[in-house]
Amino acid sequence: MSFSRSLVLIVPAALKDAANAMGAAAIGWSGDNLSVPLSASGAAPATHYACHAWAQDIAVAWLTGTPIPESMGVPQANVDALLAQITVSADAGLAGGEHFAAAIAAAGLQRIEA
Amino acid sequence: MDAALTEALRPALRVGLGLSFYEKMLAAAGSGAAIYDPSDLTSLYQSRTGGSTGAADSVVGIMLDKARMGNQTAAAFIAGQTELANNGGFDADTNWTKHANATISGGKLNVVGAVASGSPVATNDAATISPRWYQMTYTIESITGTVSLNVGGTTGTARSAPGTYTEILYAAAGSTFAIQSRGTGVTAAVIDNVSVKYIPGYHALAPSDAARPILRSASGLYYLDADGVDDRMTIAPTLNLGSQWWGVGGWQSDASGDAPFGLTNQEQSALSASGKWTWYDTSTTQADLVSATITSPHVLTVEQASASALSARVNGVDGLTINPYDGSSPTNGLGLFSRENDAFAVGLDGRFYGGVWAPGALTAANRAIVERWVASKSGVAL
Repeated sequence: MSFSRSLVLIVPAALKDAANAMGAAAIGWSGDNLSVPLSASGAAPATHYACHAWAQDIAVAWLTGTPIPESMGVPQANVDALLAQITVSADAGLAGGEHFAAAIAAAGLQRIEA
Repeated sequence: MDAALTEALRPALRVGLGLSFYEKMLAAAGSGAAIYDPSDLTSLYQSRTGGSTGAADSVVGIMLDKARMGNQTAAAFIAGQTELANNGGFDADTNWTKHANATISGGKLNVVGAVASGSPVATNDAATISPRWYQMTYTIESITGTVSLNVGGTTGTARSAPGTYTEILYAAAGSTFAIQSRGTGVTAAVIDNVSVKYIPGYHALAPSDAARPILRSASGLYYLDADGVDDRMTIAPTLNLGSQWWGVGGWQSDASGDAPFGLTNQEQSALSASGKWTWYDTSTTQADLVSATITSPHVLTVEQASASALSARVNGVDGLTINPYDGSSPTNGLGLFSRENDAFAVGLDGRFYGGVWAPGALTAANRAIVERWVASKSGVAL
């Protein structure tokens, strides 16, 4: 299956662990996927964390409102509660890096460089 | 002599006996090299634990080093590797240390009662060596609950459905392989056909799923496209190139692209971009290595002859030599698509067509061979 969907996720810092755990349960992502620290000024501390990924249609659908099958064992109410607090940007018609830059700018955030 | 060593030495043993160009390239790279070739789709895996191999427009979780695979695809090499599992077909009640609720009968491993999550269902008596990479395959004929593979302390993907699963796992530490209970545990299962094979080399692994670059294809060429946001790959086991080393890669940096590779956890020990390819000559300043454009496919050769002399070539033409900055007590080891080998730091937004890295010096004759091979993968003329 093609990973044709450009996907940017922006998550409040307090929800980073919960979002990583939901990603593991719902779409099988492992590791620290939300590895990019962000803040409004571009200075530490991070108020948000983000990532850019190439995703399959089904993953984008589940992150944009299509219910996750019950057989996955992930309560839809938990997914909905998390999605209500994070930013999901898919298919902005831009290359991956440009999509990410546009998405965090739209959220009023900047990357914190090491 | 074991099979892997024999295969690694085969090119050298056949010098002068009608070697293929690729075999000459393997010999030129030497026994300590790492070779990455995205055009061998069987050397790429979409998942970070193996499974489906590479395909255009699919992400890449693992990229195998082909330096010890001879003149064949990664799939053919792995298929020819020695089977390490003892009694992987469960033909007799031997070689496996079983949980009290597991039996071997009827040519299968049978789970006949609850096995707590995290406990081994059955552990094979063949020792594995860490750190090493292994391909492990097993068939779950039926299951109630969840199991996974475990090699050298590294757990594979949790499985709760029948099927035949093949995984590529890096055993960082530990010396056993096992079928392990996972999730909320397993209460019943029938398992068969366990296979374990060693994959020698310095293989590249994305540290998370979002960090996976994507494989693209154009004009018959294949390249990994890194997004410059969070994509990067770590090399395991650690490939410490030391103070004398060389690397030849097929690269393209997009307009905002930066570091194709780094050699330590400090950003100064990395190839960087500032309109041109650069390298730190002090802790805060970068010196130009080549003057040619970096935003189209090209072959870049970087050689460090000593701690005080680092030089570069682009498309076979000499660039500049600088005195590179030497950071204090860095953690050494090659990393791809980031300045730092343990984190994303100003990483590459661009393309990787393939490349070779090795410790030591590169002779002019061997340099020409390796550059020619990378040029063929990058679609450029030297």
